[in-house]
Amino acid sequence: MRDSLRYAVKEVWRRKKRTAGAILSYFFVGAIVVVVSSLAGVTRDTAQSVLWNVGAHSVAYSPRLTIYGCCIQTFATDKYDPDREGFVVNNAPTNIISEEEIELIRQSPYVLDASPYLMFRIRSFLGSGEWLIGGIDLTGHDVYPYTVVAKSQVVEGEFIEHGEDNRIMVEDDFAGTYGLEVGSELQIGDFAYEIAAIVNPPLRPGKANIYMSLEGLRELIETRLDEIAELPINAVLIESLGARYHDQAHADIASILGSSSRITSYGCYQPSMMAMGINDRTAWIITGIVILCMLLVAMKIQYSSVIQRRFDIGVLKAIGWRDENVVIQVMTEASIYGITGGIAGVAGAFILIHLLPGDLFGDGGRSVDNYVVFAGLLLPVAGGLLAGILSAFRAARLQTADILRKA
Amino acid sequence: MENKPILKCTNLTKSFRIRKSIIEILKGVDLEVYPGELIVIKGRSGEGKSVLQWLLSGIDAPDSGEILIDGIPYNKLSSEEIANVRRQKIGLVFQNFNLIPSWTALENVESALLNSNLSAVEKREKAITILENMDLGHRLDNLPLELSVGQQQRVALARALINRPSLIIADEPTGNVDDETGNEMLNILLSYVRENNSAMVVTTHGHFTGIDLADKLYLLKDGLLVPQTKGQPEVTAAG
Repeated sequence: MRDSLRYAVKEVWRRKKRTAGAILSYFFVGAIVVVVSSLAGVTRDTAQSVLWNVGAHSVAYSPRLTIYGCCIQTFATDKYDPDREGFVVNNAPTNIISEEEIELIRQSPYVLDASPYLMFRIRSFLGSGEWLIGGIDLTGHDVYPYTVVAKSQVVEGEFIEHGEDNRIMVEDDFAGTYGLEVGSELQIGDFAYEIAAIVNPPLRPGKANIYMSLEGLRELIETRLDEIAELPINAVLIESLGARYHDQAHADIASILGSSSRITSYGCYQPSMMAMGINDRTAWIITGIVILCMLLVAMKIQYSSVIQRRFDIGVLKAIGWRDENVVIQVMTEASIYGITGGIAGVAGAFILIHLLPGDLFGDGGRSVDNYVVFAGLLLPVAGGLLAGILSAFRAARLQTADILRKA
Repeated sequence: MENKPILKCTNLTKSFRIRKSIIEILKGVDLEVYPGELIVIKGRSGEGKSVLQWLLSGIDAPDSGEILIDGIPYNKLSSEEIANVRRQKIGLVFQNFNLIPSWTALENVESALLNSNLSAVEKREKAITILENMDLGHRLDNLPLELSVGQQQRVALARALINRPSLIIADEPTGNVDDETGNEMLNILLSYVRENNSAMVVTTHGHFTGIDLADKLYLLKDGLLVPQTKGQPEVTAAG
């Protein structure tokens, strides 16, 4: 065996042109696999990172199934108008959600964040209608910009901050209807609030006419009811782990809030999931096609090498070489070509990736996944070996008489 | 001491299927080769000289018949066993030398020792010795293309003889060289045969310079070996 290996190494070294050609081909196999797979992966990951958060937000609440006879009216003050006022979400009267339930929701593995939200409908003090007020928890949770109102949706003025319990933001149409302006005061119940901003949020599950801090709204509600829970919350703003886990998050929330609970969500998480699936499959298909093509190229290279040398193999078998000698020699050569070409190809791919324009790789930078590097190394080696095995057995099966006859 | 044949073949037949027709090349060849003999088999192109040579050397298998090399039923062995017998007992000399072009003269000769039990050093020393005996000690590291035709032929001979075969099978060994080189080569081969009590079978279409030295001369015609008398016109199988 040692002799066969020695002859293989000599053959590789002596046939410099053929060796260079084979190694160059394996170089391209490794390099193309790494570059194309990386670019396909970057394209997939970039699209996934956008799609991942699409539709991943929702508002959960627990509707009160019977309006009459509820405990709240029992504790209402004389200022409270039971026909117009109350805890509502989506125009439905709601139950109170406890802090423990919100904490349980946060503990779901499919929930990234959960933030308390308070929606209270109050009798209008400027007309005969009612106003919907949203109380936002401004203490660090970042769910409200996606479900209620975001700073980017301020039309005029400035977004309220935590602790500004006497400042409010009013919805654009609402402000227009009642002639409200930034800086002016609006009387709601026993309190006068400064209008800090006019906002225009798009369709949002927690959309209201007036937005204020959670604490400010609680203070207002306390003047309408004699006795309420310490922290009255009737909605939870949810950010699930991602569009792909949205359904699981909803299932967990429903099990915590009860089967009668409702979750208002953006429906786009479903097409988003589909798009992610398509994206994922496309990237893998591209990678698979590249790998298959390169494997065929590798096999063709090795096979051609054996065909070119069939006469030499015939002569060696004629002078007493056994089939195993030929197999070992061809496979050793294939391994040398594959390993050398694969390592050089991966190195070349890294250089090429660093020469390509950076914006091709998006925010993730010019990173190459470990599995891609592994594939870039493995494929030329495995392809070379596989091709070597096939070629070696083909070479071993070559009939010496046929070869010499055709010489 | 009983004089056993080195090679004995009986009723060898070989045919090839070419498209839908079957061409019978050998129709029942009998041949015995004894130690020290030079056998020359003449024949025109296409008569089956190469086919017979490949059958005798185990490169190809007959359709029927038996081949014994030193009493071993050669054509009934496995391919691995045939390879071993061929390496140990048969030295092949090709018309075109068939040296591996990317290997040096030394490596070409050494390659015939691949499966022997010698160590790497012993193989190398043995290959160097035989090449030095053929006045090629100064060309060990030359590739075949860097050698003259005569030198290439001596490398080919060294490769054929390095395992001290009991039978040399040569295909038109002097066909591609000038007379002087041909004679030189013939001397080497005949010296080896005599010194080692081995035998040599040469196939030729008539240009073998040593034809007059043959112990037995045959004509291969119509698939049969017809004994010939040296210096006389060819006698065909048909008479």
